Amino acid sequence: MYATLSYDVSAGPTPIEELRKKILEVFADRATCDLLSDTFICEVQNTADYLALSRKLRKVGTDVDGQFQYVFTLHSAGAPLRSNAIFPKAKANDILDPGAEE
Amino acid sequence: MRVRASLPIVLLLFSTVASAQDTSLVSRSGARPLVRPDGTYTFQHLPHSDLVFEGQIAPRILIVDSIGRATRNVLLESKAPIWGYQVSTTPMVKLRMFDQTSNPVRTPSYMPKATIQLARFRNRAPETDPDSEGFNRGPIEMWLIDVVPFGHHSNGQDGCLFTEEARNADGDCVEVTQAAVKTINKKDGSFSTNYIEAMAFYGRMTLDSDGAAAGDFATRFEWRAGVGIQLNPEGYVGGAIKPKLAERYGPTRILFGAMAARRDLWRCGRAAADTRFQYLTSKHPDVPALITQIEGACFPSGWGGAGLFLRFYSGQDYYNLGFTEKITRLQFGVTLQRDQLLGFRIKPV
Repeated sequence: MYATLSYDVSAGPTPIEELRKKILEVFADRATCDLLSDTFICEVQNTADYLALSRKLRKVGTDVDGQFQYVFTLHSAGAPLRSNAIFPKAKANDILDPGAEE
Repeated sequence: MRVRASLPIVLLLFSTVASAQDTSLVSRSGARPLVRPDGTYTFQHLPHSDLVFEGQIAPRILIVDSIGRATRNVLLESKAPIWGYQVSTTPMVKLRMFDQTSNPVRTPSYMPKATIQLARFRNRAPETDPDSEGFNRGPIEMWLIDVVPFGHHSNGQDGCLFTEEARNADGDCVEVTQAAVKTINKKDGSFSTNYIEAMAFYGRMTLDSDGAAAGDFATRFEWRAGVGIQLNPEGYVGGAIKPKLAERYGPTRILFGAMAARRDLWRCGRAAADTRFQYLTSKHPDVPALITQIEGACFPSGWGGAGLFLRFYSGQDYYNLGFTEKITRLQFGVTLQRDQLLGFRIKPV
């Protein structure tokens, strides 16, 4: 399984750089996350793992009082990634479907 | 030699069918799940007899289902009970091939039936946060009403039930030989009954997300127990039980059933145990009132829903004209999975 994060940050009491740092901290201990052009993707172990990440993201959103808007979506392993931008397919496939043969 | 070769061929054929079905051990939330189906089996037994093999073919054909929809709503925030129902039909056949001249399949049991199930699910998790893993682990409580409004059991024969009888000009079986104890005509004796059955079950399922579909928590362990009754009324549609059979067969039966199953135990994608008891009324004097059946099965991952089973059975023979005999057997063979482990959708995030 993998999850995709689309987000928007806006100016406010929390500096943007500090906010970005908080977002990245949510995924800090994960080796299989990558920002592919306009889409941030992460491999997740299972639904519980996804929920844990989701809770952390929600906490970031609460802490910065509306400066962080996001959509965090769970996908089945191997499900196609929809993106309007160009991204490195090989790198994406490592996360989208780790068990698949090259 | 021909007889010895036939069993592996039969096993091979059944395993081919099994892999073709490719039934998943875990039902994805929203899919139409199999709950308490009869299962398909092919097996042998101990102590050894002149049986080549015994089989039960019982595909469940789902007609209407809302249990699948219910599994998408149980883990919502409210923790309110969710109801689902399912209407299905099962064209079940049981057969035994014997190691006799030309390997006859002597009078198979034809047992088609319709089934209506009503299920009530409720999330019993102590946690209240719908986004937490604890909330989604349940346990899920399930009440299940399983009703067979019409079931049929016959052997497709047209002879008289007893060897001492013959059909007269009107087609009725009349006694032609005097005998103190009548003998069942096992060659072409007619056996037929229609029944109504109802059982009520209570069970629980604990869930986790390892190996479950994306967005689902799936059953890791479940148990279920219930009681019910089976009635074989005279005059219940064509093919109903006749008085001569009713007084020997046990037309009213008290049923008890319990099961437990676990996902991913040792090499079994699904390991299951199932116990059933029946208490017979008005039965034949040669058979005990109690039927006991205890079964264990292992369904390895990657076998497409096929598995191995071991079953202890003791009590009245369930094979149509065998109803006057007590059998005690250890049965073993291959089977297609019965219940699917249910998957439940988490609250949409």
